[in-house]
Amino acid sequence: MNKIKLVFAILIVGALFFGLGCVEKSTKIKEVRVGYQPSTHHIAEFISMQKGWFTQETGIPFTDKEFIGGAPEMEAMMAGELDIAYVGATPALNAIAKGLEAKIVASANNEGSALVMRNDFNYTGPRDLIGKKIATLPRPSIQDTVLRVWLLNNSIKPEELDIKFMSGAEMLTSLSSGAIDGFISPEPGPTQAEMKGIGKIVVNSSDMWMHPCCVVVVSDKLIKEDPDLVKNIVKTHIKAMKYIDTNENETINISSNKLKLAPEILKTSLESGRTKYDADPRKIESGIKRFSDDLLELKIISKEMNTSELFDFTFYDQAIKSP
Amino acid sequence: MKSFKIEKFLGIGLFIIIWEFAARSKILFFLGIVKMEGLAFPPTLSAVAEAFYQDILNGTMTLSIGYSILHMLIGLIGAVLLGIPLGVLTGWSRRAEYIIDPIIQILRPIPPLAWIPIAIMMLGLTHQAAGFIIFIGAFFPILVNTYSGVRGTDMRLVEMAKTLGANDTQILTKVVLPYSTPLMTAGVRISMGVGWMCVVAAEMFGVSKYGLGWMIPYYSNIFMYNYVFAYMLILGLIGYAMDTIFKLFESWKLRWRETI
Repeated sequence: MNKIKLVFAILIVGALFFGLGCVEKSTKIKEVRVGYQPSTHHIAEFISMQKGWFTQETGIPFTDKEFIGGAPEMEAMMAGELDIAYVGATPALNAIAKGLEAKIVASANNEGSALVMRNDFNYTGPRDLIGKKIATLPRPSIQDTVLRVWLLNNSIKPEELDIKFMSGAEMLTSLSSGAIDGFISPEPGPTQAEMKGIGKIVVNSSDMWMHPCCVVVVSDKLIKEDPDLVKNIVKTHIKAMKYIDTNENETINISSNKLKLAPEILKTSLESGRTKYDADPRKIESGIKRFSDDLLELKIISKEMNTSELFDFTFYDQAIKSP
Repeated sequence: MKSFKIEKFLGIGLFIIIWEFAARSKILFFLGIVKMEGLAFPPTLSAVAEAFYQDILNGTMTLSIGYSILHMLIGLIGAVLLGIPLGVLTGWSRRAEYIIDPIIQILRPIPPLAWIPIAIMMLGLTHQAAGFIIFIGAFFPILVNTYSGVRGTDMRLVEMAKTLGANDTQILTKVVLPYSTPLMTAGVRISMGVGWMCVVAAEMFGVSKYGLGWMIPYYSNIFMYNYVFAYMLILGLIGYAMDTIFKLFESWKLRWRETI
């Protein structure tokens, strides 16, 4: 008798589960889910969320979720858990190449990383790094590709360095214990390292090459279901990007709360000018192509990605025209 | 015995058929579990076989197996060398137990992942650091089992040895240690399992460019799931092989036992 009850219970729960799934599919978008990472590169997201601009502009509630890296964030998007992602261009590119149905609709920041070496390291040029232990975020990270391209531009094979992959927190621990000679990471990592006296910034990534960095990715599903909503999201994003440049104090406060970091660190990081905030996706097209070439060379992706597979410029174009 | 073996293969065969069906029919997508149709998840068996082939051919898998076994050996040897004496000490002496046990009980529930910063600080990005993470997983089962083995020694045997004039050292080496060997050995076997499970945590912070535990997050980051599955399978197979070998050694070494 108990077994029969159990079977019925399972059937009912199953029916409800699938039934609810069907209902959900047939209704309008009720909520937009945004992914971000704890970096100053995603400040536009922090501002739009904190000020309620996304909801004001679209009339739909927004929720956001923090991710420790681009790969898990893209994995969540593949699992249908995110509609929008503020994410590094390389993880996004890799995910789209592997089947993620989504497009880059805007840029979230350009450059914004730096090479930090231990305090007693006498840095005179990139050749000093040969044979040294340099940490970076796990592949396919922006920093890994930025470093590789820079080394190649300086006629150094990346294999000549001992490149270690680890998280940002582990980089700080490793540099302070002398386990590595240096690291390349996104802001605010380099500023933190310098302010805590762990290491010194020797090259800004903007001096390595003018590279793109994080982008705003929107799922094809959202684009298909409500293109007008996507336009308004991009419009809000542009507004937030402009806000960063014009309202420093408020930007620092919002980011300090979101990242749980001292305002002084964020102030130093922002004022260093290391990170550029320009939402125009067309300006990053050639840089993204360079990323794509590197991932292809590393055999991380198996085919060249073209602009139409990666970008959708229409929303940015509409957003800058609309009042 | 023969039919038992057939059943073993039946289970694996069935598992392979279900897996291949799930991969080829894209049933997980149609059920709504996998959201993206274009995503190669789960990978087909042939894609996993291709991953095996490629990484064995270019040496990545072979080197990774070697590195992981090296890390495992460092951790396990450390766990045996420290776990058994400490277990005997706490099992043998109440005073030692009172002093050491509270520390052990506080440290025991801390997961190996939480020890990564300490491993980096103390040992840098070395094989020993990876071994240390495995040690954390492997140490406690050995310690606890050794302690239980020593503490559970049959008092009648101890009394008997005393009556025959044995001193403390003789009681320990001739009665207590042989008596607790089966539990100690079981502890080592559990430790091997737990230690091997810690390989991913031990290798994920960039200790080396190879290692089974390093390759899984690496391939997972680039969404090459056929490679992820290949490395998960090899991790499982080696774990199984180690356990089987140890079991054979255990039954040979402890053949004097009367068991069911």
